[in-house]
Amino acid sequence: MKRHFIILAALTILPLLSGCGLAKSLEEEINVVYQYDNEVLKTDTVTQFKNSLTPVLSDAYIPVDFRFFGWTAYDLRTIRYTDPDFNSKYCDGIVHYMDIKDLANNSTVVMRPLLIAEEDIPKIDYYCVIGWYNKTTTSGLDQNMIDNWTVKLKEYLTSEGATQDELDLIDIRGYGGDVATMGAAINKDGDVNVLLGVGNNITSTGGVETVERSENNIYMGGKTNRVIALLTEDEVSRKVYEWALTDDSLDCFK
Amino acid sequence: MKTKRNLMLAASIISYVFAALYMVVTALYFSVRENIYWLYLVFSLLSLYTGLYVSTLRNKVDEHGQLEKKYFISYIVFTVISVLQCPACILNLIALLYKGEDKYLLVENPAKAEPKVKKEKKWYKKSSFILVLIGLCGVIVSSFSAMTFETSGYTVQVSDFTLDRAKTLQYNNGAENRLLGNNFVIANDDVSFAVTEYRPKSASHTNLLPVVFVLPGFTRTKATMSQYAIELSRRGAVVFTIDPGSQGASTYGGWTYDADGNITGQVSYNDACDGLDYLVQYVYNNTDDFTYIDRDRFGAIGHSAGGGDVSKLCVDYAGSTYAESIIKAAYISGYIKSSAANRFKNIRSNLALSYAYYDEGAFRYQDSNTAYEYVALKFINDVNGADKNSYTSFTQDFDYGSFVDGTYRIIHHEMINHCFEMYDPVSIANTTNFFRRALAIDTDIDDASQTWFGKEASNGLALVFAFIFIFSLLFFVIDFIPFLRRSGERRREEEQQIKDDYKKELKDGRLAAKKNKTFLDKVLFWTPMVLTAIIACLDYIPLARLTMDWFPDAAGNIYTYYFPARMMNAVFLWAIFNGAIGLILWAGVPAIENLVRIIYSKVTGKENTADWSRFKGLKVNWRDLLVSLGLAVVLFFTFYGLLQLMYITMHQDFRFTLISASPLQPRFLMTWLIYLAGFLVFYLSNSIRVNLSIGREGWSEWKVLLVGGIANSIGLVFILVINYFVYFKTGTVYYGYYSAADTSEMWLYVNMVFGLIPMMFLLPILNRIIYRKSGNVYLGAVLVCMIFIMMSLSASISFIPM
Repeated sequence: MKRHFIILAALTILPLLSGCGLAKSLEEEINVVYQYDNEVLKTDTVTQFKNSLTPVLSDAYIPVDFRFFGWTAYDLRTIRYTDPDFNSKYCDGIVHYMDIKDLANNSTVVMRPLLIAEEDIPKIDYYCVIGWYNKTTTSGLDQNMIDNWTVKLKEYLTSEGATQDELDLIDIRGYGGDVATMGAAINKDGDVNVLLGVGNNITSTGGVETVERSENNIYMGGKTNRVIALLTEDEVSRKVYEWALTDDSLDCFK
Repeated sequence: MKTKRNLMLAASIISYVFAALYMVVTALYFSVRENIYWLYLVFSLLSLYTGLYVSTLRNKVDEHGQLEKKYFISYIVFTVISVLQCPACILNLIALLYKGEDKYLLVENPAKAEPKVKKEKKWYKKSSFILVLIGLCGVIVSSFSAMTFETSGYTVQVSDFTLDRAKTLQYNNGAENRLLGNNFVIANDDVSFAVTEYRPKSASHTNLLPVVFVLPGFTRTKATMSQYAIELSRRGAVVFTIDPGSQGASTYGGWTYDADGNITGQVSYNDACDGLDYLVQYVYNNTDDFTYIDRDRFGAIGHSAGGGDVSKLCVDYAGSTYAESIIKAAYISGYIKSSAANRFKNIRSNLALSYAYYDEGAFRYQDSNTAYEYVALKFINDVNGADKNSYTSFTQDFDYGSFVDGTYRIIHHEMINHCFEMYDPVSIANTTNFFRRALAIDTDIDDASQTWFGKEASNGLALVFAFIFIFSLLFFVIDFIPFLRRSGERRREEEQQIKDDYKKELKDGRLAAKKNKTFLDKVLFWTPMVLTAIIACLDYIPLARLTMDWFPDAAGNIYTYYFPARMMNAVFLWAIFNGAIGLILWAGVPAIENLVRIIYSKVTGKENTADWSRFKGLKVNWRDLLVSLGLAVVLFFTFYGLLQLMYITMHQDFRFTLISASPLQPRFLMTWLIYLAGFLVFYLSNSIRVNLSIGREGWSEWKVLLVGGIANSIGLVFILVINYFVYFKTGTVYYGYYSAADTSEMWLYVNMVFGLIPMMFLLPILNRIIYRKSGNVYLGAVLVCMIFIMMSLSASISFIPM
């Protein structure tokens, strides 16, 4: 019996030890070289657990009528702004292991600034952009509620004279993460008109400036103290914001 | 020689090993969302069934070493299948082709001597009584040892007090007590915070010592941070550790009242830095009791959510300059949320920031303005205002700024994960190093010299001895309850009979194949076992997510009597669900099997071979049941009585890192009552499975215990395998957010699994040992459930309004 328990103890410890070894062997270090033309601006390393802060590219490096998006390890000649996966081809601020692991050559990646000519960036003129806090445990909102709400919103806007083309240009975006992450994403997009399901800390913690916001007492999907905010002042946005505060709209969130 | 049979035995063992390996590969592919995991699952099951079949065939080999011809084809088929387990295939082939004649040595059993009638030992000579004494002495000696470490060889005085409204009214209220414009007074009489003070005996009004406040993270108690208190106090700092609201021994009324005593609302969960604001002001202003502290050298450290609270504490007590600030030094550990990072600019203290290199929660902070790298940069730049410095990169463990004017900053990135960061010697050394310099602690003890693990190990030993004490006491008592004792003896005899039947391989010169298990028997035993393990692995996280919908108040940190233990709710649902599945399979599989046998016998007119014997073990009369329940209740309170005694006399509880038994609190007793019945489903299910299924397989006892322990914990182990394989492959845990569409955070629920696994491994072993002694499946289940659930609840958070 005792012998068996000793064997059992050894068998229990072995996988733990081998597990630790396995874990360590899975960690891979990639060297990152930030380069503008042939000038190396910074070198760094990245692992699964360590990101790299991208260097700030001073204005002197950015040609007139070009926009700097971030740093990329892809062949610059192959990147078009209109590519569906454009956003996944560059890093702005932080380089993660997963961003570059497939692009490494001999455990090294050369990152170059992604500069796109303004004329190559088509503008989408949305009729209205609505953001919602896609963190159900905090906002109470989920995709079903938003889908129902969108149907009602479009009915309302149709009754107000909006055309089908205009309705097609309504963009509904879910923003996840904590308040700061969500706020940063909204600010980065820069074109959200109305925001649903956030808390009163959307400016203090999220950093999103609002034109007007509802009282902090809206009930959404079982969560109290939710807020609807107007981020831009124009006719369509205000119309959507004011309708969003009506019972017709709020019923969708119960 | 039994060459053929030995070859087949080796082949079947290799098949089992491959089954386990394929299951691991299945989990790994599943974790990276490669659908090929289905293939490996099939390989695993095929390997298992091959092993089972070959081991079954092994019993069909006759005394000449030849396999009966009717099994030849099927052995060839399974040999082909065993290609998946290459070495097993080779062994099977050799066994298949082996023509040599196995030679058996017929051993006549010597005539059994008359069984010795064991003379009843006197009560004080019984092994159970001796073990009771060993357990009791072990608890006392271990606790004494832990006390020696906690008091650093009796150079530090450790004592508890409760911070309540009356104390804060006396010392925190009024214009004369205002501290930098603050009056932190506890809202009502129901709210109180449990505090432990570590006071070096060298402290006196002529030798004023610096003060460090220590706050644990979400769900943890102050006892989990005692290592910081020990290391800082033995170096000459007065340390206060505090249980945050709703955790440990702190009470939280939850309600606010108007002048007439009517409830007007709930006290916010995150009130006043989880008690720290109250405590700091109380200690600072109370010059009656705390005459030995240097009020110009206050520091604070918090881990995880406690780190966030400490950053807020620094802001709450920040003056316009470092000299005016009350908190001179703060160590923010394991917390880099934006809410904390945004406060850096308003802090006028020396600061340290530490974040574990393998912190599982880091997946939430990967954006360019939330990532650790960004926050670390902000930490050294936002000094006395936003972006006052202009660093573009940072170095770990490097001294930035100066201690003199409160601009000192240091960043650590210890190679540890989140939930064990506070047990990491490097992390603790970094902490003592920081406070030693920031608060000018007069010590010559090196940062690497640490003794806290002496207390941790001693408390762990005390836990082990306490279990030895309580279960030996149970056995001792059973010996004095005749019907329980007889019942246990009957069960043991019954099981011994089954074992004897299986062990008789040779009987009158031929193999006794009748009692050997058939392939189908083995499949029907092992398939539900594998199935329940897979289900237990896969349903934990979905059930944890379900708690957010089913128990929304607790999930939203709102006080409630409706299942208030937010994190334990996940384990609760998991236990009920898997307990029920275990029971259904335990009863359902043999019920269907017997039904088939009955129908078969009716149709063919052959003997009815239905076997209902396993259900007999459930039978118990009311007297036995009531005595068992009574015994369980008495032993539960004996266990906690002993714990209480150790706490009162030596300030020690029973614990080892994340597993702990803490002194009973009324609020946790109430919480415990709410959960007990539900959890009992799982504990009963486990007791029934290990005793009335695994225990009846005719195996030797060590094998029963091993299989029982593994079966009960392997599902949880695979949760960790899946989670951490993905983590080390990608840097993001598998169970981070619930899904891409649902960003509910699940990673903290996985952290709980670390503490659950040892308890789940131990549970069937305890159930089994108690069953063997008492003969009923209920006593062990109830007793172990009562103790384990109280242990788990009191180590977590409960939003019960008490």
